[in-house]
Amino acid sequence: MDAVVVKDIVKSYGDRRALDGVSISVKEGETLCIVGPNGAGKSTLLESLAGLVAPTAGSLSVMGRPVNGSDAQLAGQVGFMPQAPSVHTMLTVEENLELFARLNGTSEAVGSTIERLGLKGVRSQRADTLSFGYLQLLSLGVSLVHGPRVLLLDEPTASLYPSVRKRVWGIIREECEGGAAVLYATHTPEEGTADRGIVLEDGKIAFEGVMKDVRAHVLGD
Amino acid sequence: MSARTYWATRYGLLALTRDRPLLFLALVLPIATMMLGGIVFSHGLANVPLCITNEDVGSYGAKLVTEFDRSARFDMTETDRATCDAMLRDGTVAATVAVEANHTGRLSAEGRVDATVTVDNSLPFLGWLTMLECRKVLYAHLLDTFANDPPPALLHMRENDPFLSWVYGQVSAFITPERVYFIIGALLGTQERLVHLDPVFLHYYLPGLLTIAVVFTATTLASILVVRDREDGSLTRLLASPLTPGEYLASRMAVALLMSLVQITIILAVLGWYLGSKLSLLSLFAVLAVLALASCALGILVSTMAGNALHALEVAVLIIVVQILLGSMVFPNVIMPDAVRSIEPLLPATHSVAALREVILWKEPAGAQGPMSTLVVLAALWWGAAWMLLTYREQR
Repeated sequence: MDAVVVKDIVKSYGDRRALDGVSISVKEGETLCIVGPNGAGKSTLLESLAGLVAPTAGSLSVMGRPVNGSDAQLAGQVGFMPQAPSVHTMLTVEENLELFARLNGTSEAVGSTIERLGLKGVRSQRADTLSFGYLQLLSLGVSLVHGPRVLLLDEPTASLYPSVRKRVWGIIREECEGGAAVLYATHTPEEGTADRGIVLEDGKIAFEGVMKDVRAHVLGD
Repeated sequence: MSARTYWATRYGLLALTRDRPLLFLALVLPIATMMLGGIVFSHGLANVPLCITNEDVGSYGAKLVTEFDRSARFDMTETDRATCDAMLRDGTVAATVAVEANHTGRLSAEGRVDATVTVDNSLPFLGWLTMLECRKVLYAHLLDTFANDPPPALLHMRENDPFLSWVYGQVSAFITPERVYFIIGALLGTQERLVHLDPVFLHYYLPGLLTIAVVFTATTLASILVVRDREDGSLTRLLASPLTPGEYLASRMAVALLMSLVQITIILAVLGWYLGSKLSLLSLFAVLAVLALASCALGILVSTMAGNALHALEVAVLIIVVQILLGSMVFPNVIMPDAVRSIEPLLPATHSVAALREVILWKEPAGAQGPMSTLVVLAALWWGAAWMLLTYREQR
């Protein structure tokens, strides 16, 4: 089943088109990598799917439901990780995870998420005292803690140490194997777990294919 | 309240209680300011530095100097006129009194005090009060001189008059209109009737003091909440979660309102302890809670519009200052131009002061229902505007 379907989506900011006729579909258990230079429209595409950006034209659906910002049931099936670590700075690691789990009507996976992400040592630490790497992991944890069916990750491994990056890719692979559809944006297509990818340039899909071909396109191999 | 709103409120409250500088600014500072205001408005003028020159050669001049010296209102220095003028110029004294050379003769012959009072009115309140206190000493001097054969107009000014004694008993650091009316009226032979004869002078200022404290806390706290979530990025996460914009705003309103209610409870507990059962604390709580609701909604609207926390606080402070100026809590709003007064109905302070005056001065809580209803309507309007703005702005 297609978990994500995007048809001819256009998003304009004044005269500038951040997205210009993009169409994609991602099945459950599939991972799509979105590559592109800065300002290509990667974040706008993910934010549109998260219901944070209203498209100018075209249609979006997630798990068979049209995307709009006020569909609480749909939002519960999506885990969105913005580009910048976005958590409550005055709350601890555990409190942040519990808050976002509770907003999705659960709290069962808080402990296991802390374990999975290696955040046990900082679970009682306030977010504003965490290093950037831990913040990034917490941000990922917040998007995972309620067991979403669709994961939207905007540069999930940016600025992370190689061993931590490896752990993050491992977790994303596990989510995918568990049946979740994963879309992630990155500048480094040479790493990651995607089955296939698209290259966005100036809001349009400049290339799409399996990851081997995407890497070759981007890296000029 | 939905479960999602509850959890967002609970953790929002937890986050806020950890921000101690903000809590101090928003919660403790207004209470301290209000208490300071209470102290100021409860105490009379005392120890105002005054320079006096006696150029009168008769006995009444020396008597007048003694009367000024005896007054606890003044810290008196007696010297020559040039030195007194220099002291007034450099700010060493707030006023000078020159007893003119022919004072004794004129007082005996015409029944008039021949003295010149000069007051530094660069500090308006102190200037007015000093002038009034000087007048009071001069009138007392006049009364004393004619103790055995007073002119009819001065009969009203006797200190042993029960009504006048009561008026003088209400001395505060603020000009009381009844005193001005009385002094002028007595000389004109008119009769004055006071609307309020509240025995506790502080009651006249309580509507303004309470309103300032609550407006300050509720508006600043609420104005910072949404914009702070936007700055640390958690707003994006919250709006991408099942929490709807309406539920999110309700949670932030609840956080600011709960903190304001804590503050109101503290204020009323202190007030109840200080004033005993002279006020209906329950009615006061109801009015202040509704004022907090309206101020929180206004703060939330500011926070939703603001680009960053500094911007939000600047706008919140501006709104508070406008309310102090136009809310009739301190300054008489009737002197403002009509165009400026047209925004009064939109200010929570306007309705709060009206409601509190009903409760405190008229002792008629039922009369507060109209202004309170207006506050609820304003709260709904601002909250609705914030909701529309958030929905539009965050879903770009």
